[in-house]
Amino acid sequence: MAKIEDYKNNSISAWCPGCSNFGILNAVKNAFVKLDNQPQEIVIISGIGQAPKLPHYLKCNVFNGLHGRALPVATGIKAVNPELTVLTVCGDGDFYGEGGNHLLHTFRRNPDITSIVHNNQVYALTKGQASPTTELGVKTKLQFDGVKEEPLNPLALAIIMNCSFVARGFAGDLDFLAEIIAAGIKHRGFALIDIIQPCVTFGVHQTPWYKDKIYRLENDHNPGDRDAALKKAAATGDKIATGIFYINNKPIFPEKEINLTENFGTDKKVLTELEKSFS
Amino acid sequence: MTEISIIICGQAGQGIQTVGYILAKAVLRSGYYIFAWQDFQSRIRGGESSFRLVISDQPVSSLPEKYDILISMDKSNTPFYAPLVKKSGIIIAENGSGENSVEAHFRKIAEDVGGNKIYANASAVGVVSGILGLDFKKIENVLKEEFSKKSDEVADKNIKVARYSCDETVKNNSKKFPPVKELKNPGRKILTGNESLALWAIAGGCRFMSAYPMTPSTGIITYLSETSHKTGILIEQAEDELAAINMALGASFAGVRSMTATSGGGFCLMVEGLSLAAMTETPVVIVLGQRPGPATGLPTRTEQGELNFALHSAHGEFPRFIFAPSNASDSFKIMIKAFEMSQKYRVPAIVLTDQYLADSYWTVENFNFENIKLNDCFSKPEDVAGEFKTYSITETGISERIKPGESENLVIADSDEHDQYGHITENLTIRKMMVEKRWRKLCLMTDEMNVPVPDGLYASEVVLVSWGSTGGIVSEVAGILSKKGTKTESINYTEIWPLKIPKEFFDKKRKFKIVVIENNFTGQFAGILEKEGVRIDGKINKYNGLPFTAEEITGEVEKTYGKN
Repeated sequence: MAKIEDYKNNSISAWCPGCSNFGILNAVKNAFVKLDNQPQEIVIISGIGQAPKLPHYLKCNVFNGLHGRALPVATGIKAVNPELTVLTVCGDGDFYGEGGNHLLHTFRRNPDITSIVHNNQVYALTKGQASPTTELGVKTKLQFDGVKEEPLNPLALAIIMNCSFVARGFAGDLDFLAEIIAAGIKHRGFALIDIIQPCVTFGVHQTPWYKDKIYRLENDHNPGDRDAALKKAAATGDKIATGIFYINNKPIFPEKEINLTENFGTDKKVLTELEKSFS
Repeated sequence: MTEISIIICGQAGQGIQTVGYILAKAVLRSGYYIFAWQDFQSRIRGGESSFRLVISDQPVSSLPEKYDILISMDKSNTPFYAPLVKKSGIIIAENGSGENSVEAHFRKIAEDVGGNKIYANASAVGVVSGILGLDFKKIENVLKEEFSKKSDEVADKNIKVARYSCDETVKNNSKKFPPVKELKNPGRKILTGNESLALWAIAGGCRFMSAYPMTPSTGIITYLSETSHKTGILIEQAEDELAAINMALGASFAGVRSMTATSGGGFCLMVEGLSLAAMTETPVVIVLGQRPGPATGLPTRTEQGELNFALHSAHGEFPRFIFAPSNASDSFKIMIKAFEMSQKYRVPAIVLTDQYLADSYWTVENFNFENIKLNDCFSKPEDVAGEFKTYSITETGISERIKPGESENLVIADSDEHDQYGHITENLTIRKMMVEKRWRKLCLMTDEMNVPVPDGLYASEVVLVSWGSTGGIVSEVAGILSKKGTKTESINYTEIWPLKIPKEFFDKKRKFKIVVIENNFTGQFAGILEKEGVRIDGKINKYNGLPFTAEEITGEVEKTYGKN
């Protein structure tokens, strides 16, 4: 059985002291422990920002790519080697802003990838500008008289697009978060896990503010019920649901799961057959 | 030498390509070389478009200024293309009039004989085969192969209409044309530039291709898709070019050879991915099908305007390969080399094409699949000593690769500056080492490049320099000029970057003139040579969206350097 120490590496973190990313990192490791995933089976693809540094802080294969582009890289990796457990780790600006188009089409394509989004509602690494999920009216150094754009609702968007697995976690409820991440990885298809991640430096709200507003979706919510899921995702008010909102089992990309990395070169017989059509 | 040139014209959607393709294949099987170029507009129906077919008993890769035969499938197209017909030529059209014209009622014959005017194309094929005196059995076989995919009935009706039109033409033909005699068929092949690039990518071991459709490169992913059930290559139409290149990089990181293809506008979106390929040292082959720009430009026309773009694109400094095949034969070695070099050096390889190469049909002597030797550049996991370093500092700058998941060794790649293990770093000593490591590859990369330098360089008066798809035309020009008394050699670059220059070019006392011929306005390759210290004596440029003809280049060179 895997132990949490199996995923420990000795990198020095560039996260702020007290950052809720540390908790998320632990939840990710605990999800791997739950699933007994060996480090070499895992590939984490990340973008740019503070959250995408996460894969450097644990033991696994890593592709730390460009801002916004984690999903297509992950899609390529999983497509040619379906035996790998493939995750992406990004922040809200990276995943919902710069990479927005890839997200829309990943809903449609449905690769067997789990995407973790550290949603802190702010561009923290660039020192505090609004992100696609910042609430209306929030004042920042750049949006000095308040954000004017409607915030993106990633969960509602995902459900509308029939995303295969849609969940929300909270960086202040790490046991439940580890359960959600494990369920997302286990799910066959694209799993979007949006995590409420209070930013210790630029966040409007800190963890204690969320504590009495967050609740877990329990057995009375059926993730197969799309309308109920959508209602929960679109809900406004004082209560914030976490847990698995929606599960939709559907065909994945690619249709045939073949490990293409095992074969090298091209069969000359195939080439000769193709050649014939040009005579 | 026998050479016959034909224009088949009509509106988009009238199937002129089918007419041309069937004729080309039949003529090929009669032992001839063919070259065919397609001229069309960016629209689905209507307008003016043509399929230009050159038939020769010698290898051919250029178009003439004037043509022997015009077959017009559309009344409005006839006056548009008629000026391109030789005085001795023939115009075959429904509205054919004048002494060189043959009235041909393709649609009426199609309806009368085949019961539907959709067989008008078959009638046109029949008329041309009658005029050229082709062996009808050859036409019949091609029609059968092409149309029995739809149904035997469709194939039969096409053959019936074509045979009737051929017989009637032979019976009534007052315009005599020397018949195309049967030659020995050595089993040559015809294929488009795009098909050749796709085929050689398969031969080069490509396992994954993602692309966003964009003229003139779409034919590559189309062919790979059509044949994927046989080859096992996984193809995916990406949502945009950003996704296309990033998917290809993901596949490559995971351990397969991968590629993408686009045109200039799409390549603009890809350049951040190009930079990512360089920083993560992830091999990838990118086909850049150039077209006249800026911006959307002329989507369906030809130009060589993106050499500097390919060379200088993307943020940061890094080495890269640039290739530009000249035809469907040498795209064989170029495509395989692009994959091999990209893998060996862990750098991106860009393959430049254009509409002239991509959409034209080229004759290829033989494919020689037997001679392909690919080198697997991955190390065996058991050979890795200690903790795996994705970016180990080596004398050559090349670090070994393994596949993630294959062993307990972890593979870590980073777009940030990284240490040897692949972890993000801001250690500036390591930064300096990594920059130097990446650039150390350049010396060996340059050694890999071949430039075919003719022996007679010093004996020549003019040396014509070209790159990519203009090579065939320019080589024909050199032959014509030499025959006419101006000793001319030609050098066509297909392996462009890292750049190798013949030492004779730097000789200050050299007598021969260097004339650089490019399908662009500024003379980009000439500029690159000049920057390296080569004196350029002349530039010939064309930038109206059309390919060069041998006649126009010959005329230009003669004006300045000719004997007459």
